[in-house]
Amino acid sequence: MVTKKIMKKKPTLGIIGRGGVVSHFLEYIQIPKNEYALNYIDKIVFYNHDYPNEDVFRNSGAQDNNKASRVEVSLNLILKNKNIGNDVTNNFEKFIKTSQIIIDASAGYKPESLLTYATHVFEYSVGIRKGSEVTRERKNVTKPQFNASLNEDFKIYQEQAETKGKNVLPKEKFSNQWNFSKNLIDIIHKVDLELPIGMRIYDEFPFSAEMMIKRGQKILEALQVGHPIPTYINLVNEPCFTSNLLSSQCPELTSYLIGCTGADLIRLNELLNNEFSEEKKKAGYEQCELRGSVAGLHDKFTMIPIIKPQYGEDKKMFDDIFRDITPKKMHRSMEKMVSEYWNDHHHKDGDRVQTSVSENLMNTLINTSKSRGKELSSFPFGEDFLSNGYFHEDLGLFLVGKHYFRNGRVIAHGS
Amino acid sequence: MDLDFMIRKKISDVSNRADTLVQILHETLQLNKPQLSWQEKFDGTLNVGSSQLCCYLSEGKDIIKYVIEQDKIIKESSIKGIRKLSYNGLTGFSLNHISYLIAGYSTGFMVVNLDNTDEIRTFNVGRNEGSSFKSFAFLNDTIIAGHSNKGLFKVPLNDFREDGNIINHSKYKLLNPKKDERILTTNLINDLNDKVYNKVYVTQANEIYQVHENNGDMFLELTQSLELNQSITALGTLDQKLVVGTKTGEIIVDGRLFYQDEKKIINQVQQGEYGSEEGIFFSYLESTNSSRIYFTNGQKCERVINLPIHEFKVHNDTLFAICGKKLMVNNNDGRKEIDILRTGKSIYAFGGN
Repeated sequence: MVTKKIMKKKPTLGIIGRGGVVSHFLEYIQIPKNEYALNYIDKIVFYNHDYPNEDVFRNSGAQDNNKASRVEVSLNLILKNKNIGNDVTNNFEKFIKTSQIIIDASAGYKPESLLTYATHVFEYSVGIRKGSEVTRERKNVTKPQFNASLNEDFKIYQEQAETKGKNVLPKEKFSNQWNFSKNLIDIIHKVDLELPIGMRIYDEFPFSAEMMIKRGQKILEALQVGHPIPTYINLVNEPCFTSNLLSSQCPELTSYLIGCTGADLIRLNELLNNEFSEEKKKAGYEQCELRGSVAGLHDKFTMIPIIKPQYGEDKKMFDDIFRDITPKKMHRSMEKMVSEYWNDHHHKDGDRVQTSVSENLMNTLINTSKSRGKELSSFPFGEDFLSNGYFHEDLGLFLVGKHYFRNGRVIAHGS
Repeated sequence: MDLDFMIRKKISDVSNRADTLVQILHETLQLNKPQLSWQEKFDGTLNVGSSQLCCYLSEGKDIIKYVIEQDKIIKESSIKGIRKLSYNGLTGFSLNHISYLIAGYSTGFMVVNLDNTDEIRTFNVGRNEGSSFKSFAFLNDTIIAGHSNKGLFKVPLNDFREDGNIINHSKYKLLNPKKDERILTTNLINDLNDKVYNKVYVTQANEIYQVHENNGDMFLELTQSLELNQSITALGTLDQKLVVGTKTGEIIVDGRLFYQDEKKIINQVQQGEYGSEEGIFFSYLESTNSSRIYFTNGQKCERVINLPIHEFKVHNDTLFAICGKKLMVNNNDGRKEIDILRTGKSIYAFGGN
């Protein structure tokens, strides 16, 4: 007589990227109140796509040759205190095969003069939108000349890569990437003149796009070998846009893919409760927490804060608190505040800005880890929803919305 | 302005704007639009066909034979059902490789020799409101029959009298289901079809039992036990391994999770080939009682037919499905459809020549 049960093993977390997001996150999940998050993973595997060997990779990001990188310091603490394995691989297929959950927090290289060009055309668009022709002339808002230099940019890139011990791309490849980014900046600018686009679509997305198209192709190749599909938490800027790219290359990944944008909701809720603390007090709801949600595309001009009672919440509370405030006005002011949160806070308190990213990343990671290999009954309604960019089947786009994970897949809230 | 209306309008405006932006980007960069994998192979066809196939469908208590040819489906002949067995039409069906067709009814079942359709045997257990024979299997020359209320019966083909009937049915009881743990007899299979394997499994709640025979004696042995909340709703095989569909939307192969979907009750699992891949076709029941056929190889899942279907079967790498009043046949010759007359519940079985 044989009795078999489904094995529920803790998942391996794959990480792409060694920058600020990863180091902050690894520090964040070691704060005592958060360290339970580490119970949801079995092993951390890094993908090394930039460095010639593991030693150089592990030392990358160190400010001083004698000191370890921030990521490595945090990682060593985790390995020391928790029973979690660690590995580095430069084999992408193996990385996909090993990881049940992947955090992609990588970023494309930004050639210096091209970045300057992107900033200039963005400022030009803002100038055009802001005033009449007369004021534009007065403010000397003129279309910037294109004076970025591929040769100069390559020289700088080569020097930087060599200093960091990175693999150096041949000029031809660098040149292709450079032209791709330039082309993209021009397309974005053209669209922006008709439909306003936020700064980060200019100075982040064009430099990550080609990398993500190639990554999508590599994921597809790895999955075609027959490896199980991992849940892919995408933090590559801008996450909704770069998720669209991954999905276009590898449709198999789509329902396991989210653009990790939930920091916006954390920020909205923080602003909402600070901004309307007096109104809450007046209505007798001082102790209650207002919770909103966010919809749209993760960008300054296409993201909408939704301030209304969430599932199971008391409508009366909202009515009482916002009795004297017109919804339209309130939404407009919150929209502005959320979209400018980063600008408003990162100089004053950089950690606070980053904390909302890490908090959302942690919640997302825990939720997907809990969901892997489990049946529907493990996810009762009423559990807190997540807010990230996921694929909206009816629109065919990655847009922000409320969702859960079920067995590693993204399930829209209410579906 | 109403808050909900304002929010809905804003979301719609922003979605349109986002769509325009992404569309321009993707068109200029000559990239596909983001998509879910199943959309690529929507309404795809099966890879391997069979030179000749036939299929049997119920029409009330009667059974109609359809022959599937290259470009059409032909209604060929019919077998009359036995009125005294049937109050509500045919309720179960089985076709076995030895060329016996078994049709289940509310009070019994009939066994038809397909080589000589005049040779009919009947087994009658008497009327029992709301219950019926739903599934059958052959173990050697013995019929294992599952009744939704009375449990399992084991009836050797040789035991039927000369007139083809069995009256004293009580000695053929194999298992009486207890009141609160009824055998899910609809999952009785010996689907290790037509090949060397001759195994019969039954399920009860979250457990699968194999029916064994020892010197004419039959008994059940527990083969697999899933977690308590994993009620089994469908049973099949994949490469000689047991495939289980559960109420919670999981497909489990050989005790391991193969695929999981949400909010879906799997109500059929069948092995088959889709494109160049081998895997499991399954359908699920939604609250609206509509089902669609999906295919999974364990890693990805694709919707094969985007229409509510009643039942389906995979035979010789051909997919048969009942959809509304249509019979659909999908294979490498393309998709064929015919209108069928449905009176009562259509249950069907398939077999090649």
